[in-house]
Amino acid sequence: MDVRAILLIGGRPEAAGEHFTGVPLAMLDLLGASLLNRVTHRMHQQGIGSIAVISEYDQFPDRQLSHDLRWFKATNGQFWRFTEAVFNDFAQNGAELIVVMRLASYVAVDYEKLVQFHLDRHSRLTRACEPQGEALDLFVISTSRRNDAAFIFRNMLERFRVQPDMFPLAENQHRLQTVADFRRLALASFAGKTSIEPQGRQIRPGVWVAPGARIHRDARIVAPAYIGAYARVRARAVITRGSVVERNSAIDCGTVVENSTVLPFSRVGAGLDVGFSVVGFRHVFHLQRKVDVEIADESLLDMAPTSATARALSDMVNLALYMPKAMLAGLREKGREIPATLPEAIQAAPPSLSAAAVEHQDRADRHFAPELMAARRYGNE
Amino acid sequence: MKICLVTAFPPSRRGLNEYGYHIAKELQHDPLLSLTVLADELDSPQPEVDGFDVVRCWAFDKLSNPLRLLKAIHDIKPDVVWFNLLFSTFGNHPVAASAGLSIPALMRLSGYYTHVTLHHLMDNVDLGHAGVRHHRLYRAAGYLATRVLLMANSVSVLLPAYRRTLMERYGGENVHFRAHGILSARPEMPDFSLRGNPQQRILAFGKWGTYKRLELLIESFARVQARIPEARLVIAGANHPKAPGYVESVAERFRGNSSISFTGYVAEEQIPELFRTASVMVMPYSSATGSSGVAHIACEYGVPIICADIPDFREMGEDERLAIRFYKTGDADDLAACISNLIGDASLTREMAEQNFSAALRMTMPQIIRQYLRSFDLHKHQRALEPISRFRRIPGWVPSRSAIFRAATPRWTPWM
Repeated sequence: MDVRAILLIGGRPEAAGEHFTGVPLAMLDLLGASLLNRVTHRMHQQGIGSIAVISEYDQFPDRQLSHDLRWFKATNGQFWRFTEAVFNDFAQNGAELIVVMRLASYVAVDYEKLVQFHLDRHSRLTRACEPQGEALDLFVISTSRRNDAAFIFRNMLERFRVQPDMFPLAENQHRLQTVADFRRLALASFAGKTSIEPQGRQIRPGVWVAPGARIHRDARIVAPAYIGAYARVRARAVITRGSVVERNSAIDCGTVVENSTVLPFSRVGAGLDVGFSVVGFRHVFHLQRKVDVEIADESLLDMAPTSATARALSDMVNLALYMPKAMLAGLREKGREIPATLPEAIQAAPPSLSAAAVEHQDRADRHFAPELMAARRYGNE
Repeated sequence: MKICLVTAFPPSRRGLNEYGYHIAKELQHDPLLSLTVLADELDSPQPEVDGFDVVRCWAFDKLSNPLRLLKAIHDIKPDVVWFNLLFSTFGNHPVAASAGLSIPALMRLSGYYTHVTLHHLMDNVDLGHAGVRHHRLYRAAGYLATRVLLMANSVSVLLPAYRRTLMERYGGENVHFRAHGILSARPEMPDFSLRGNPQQRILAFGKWGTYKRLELLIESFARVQARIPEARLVIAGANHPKAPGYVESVAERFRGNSSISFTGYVAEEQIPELFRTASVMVMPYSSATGSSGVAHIACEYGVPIICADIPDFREMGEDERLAIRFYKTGDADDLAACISNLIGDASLTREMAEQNFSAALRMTMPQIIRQYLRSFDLHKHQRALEPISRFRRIPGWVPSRSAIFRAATPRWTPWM
């Protein structure tokens, strides 16, 4: 039987938060592999041949993704028309059943059973649901029912001409609608509450390390933690409280990563404290404050080229240009003014003291010194 | 954080011992701090105040103080050395005092973070009233000593005018203003039923004999009593070290007057009772040597203040929003009128008392000490993070980053 799949990323107004700096959450690595990768891999394993992805976003380079995956970028206005067109295309090319799934949550699905259920019931439309009955955006549609499919797509998977047969799944879905959901899913996976397995070797209880990762002997990895393939954790860095460092990332010396995810190809600078955040693509998303900050300073947060060749070339060019650039910078540099003392903004009396007591202070001094940093206390402090 | 507090400390009765005690008491409350008080030696052996780690390693008027303190601090290896200073803390003899005032600079040279809380400036002291001869010589020595004190990592003064002086006249860049504080963590609301019931107690408190003199006050009091017979004058405090026998001589002169009482030295535990029953506190000074600790104690107990019109006190009152009535300095009639008007007007007395108490609530000792600790903490962090800042300039492709980091940031380890 020819079973194919259409995976949808975005497409609904409420899907506006399902991305991180323009990369869909389903495309971001989670413990070594993206959800899209995990879903397609499972589909391939269970006999679903051809898969099309229709997304509002561009494809993020992922070598692990199957090469026969067809990626279509569709803007929001054309999204569902495009889906309908792909469905028709699959139908014309001999598909008998099409699995349609919107990647706004993660759930382990036994596709063989789902398809079998659909066939056994002689159903025109089957929809998966959680054990408690809450419906998922996962359907099996017979290609002979194009009009039914068209109706569903035009109503963004929310209304149907015929009531679908409900297929109960063995486990609940894990929503993936915000960056916080993405981080929660990582923590739930560490706790064994999902079927997501970290892609790597468990070097000690709760610590997984993927092939090619390099961890300095002075770095501390506190379980649960995951270090992705070719990631690098340098001296005196600390990875703790369920933190995830994805492939090809680098955590520079002395940096503490606490309850955070560092996305692939990110380079986190030295001596930083990354906490309760998702970091990547030169952005930091703080989960508690729900604030996304773009970091322009490359010494704090940078992104390496996604291609290995580009990375090597980039390093070579940097090496070749380092001396000339340093000399040029030295020629241009005016004497840098080092602040003699802490700025008045820090020294100022707290608001509880009278306003008059602080009025005398010079306004011009109320700026932070460019070299000022703040840090948290740890351990024996 | 390890802090060494260099101060006169009870049971010593030298200048700033009470303020030093309250700083130490507040620091002692922070479980993250380790405090050692480097205090002055006592004339006779006495038991130390309970709960404090006190090392008595310097003495008044001794030239060896710099070496002895340096040795004590080397042994303790603190993160911060905090000096609680007057110009006369280390001695009355100019050479001994100057040697003592050079200690903060020496500590900084030895690699310790040094902070000085300076309670007065020589520039603002009326040397005539302080009983000093050779004014020019003292001024020059004071100028040099101030310059040397400014070599500390940071200096706090208790009046904004002092900060301006240090910045404009001495070019100090590391000078901060911090309020004196009220020496208490949680002041209690004044009990107004204890005041003027039936006597109106006029309180004068301090170390008497130099620029704090009692003649003017007693002269005024006679006029006050003529208008308000139930007024009583309570003179509290002992002699200034430079004026031994002064209080006793005044007490002897007015022994027959039952309306005037002399308490002598007031121990810490007797202060609340003294202030709670006072209707007004008078500061009959001829000049000032900085922010007034006595005025802050009056605020703590919600007592209205009458004070000589001295620019430092006027500025202190405005900055800290204290309720102070000023009389013309040296004018007994004006002082008498001021006292009579105030204690004769119950609603004004109460209003001033509440204003002072409200000011006290804004500058409790924990708030003041928190400001100091915050700045020490920031300096410590800044110092530890400086190498990181330099390290970040090394390009990412440079090999052996971990080895470079470990060599460049030896202080990083304690942060983990």
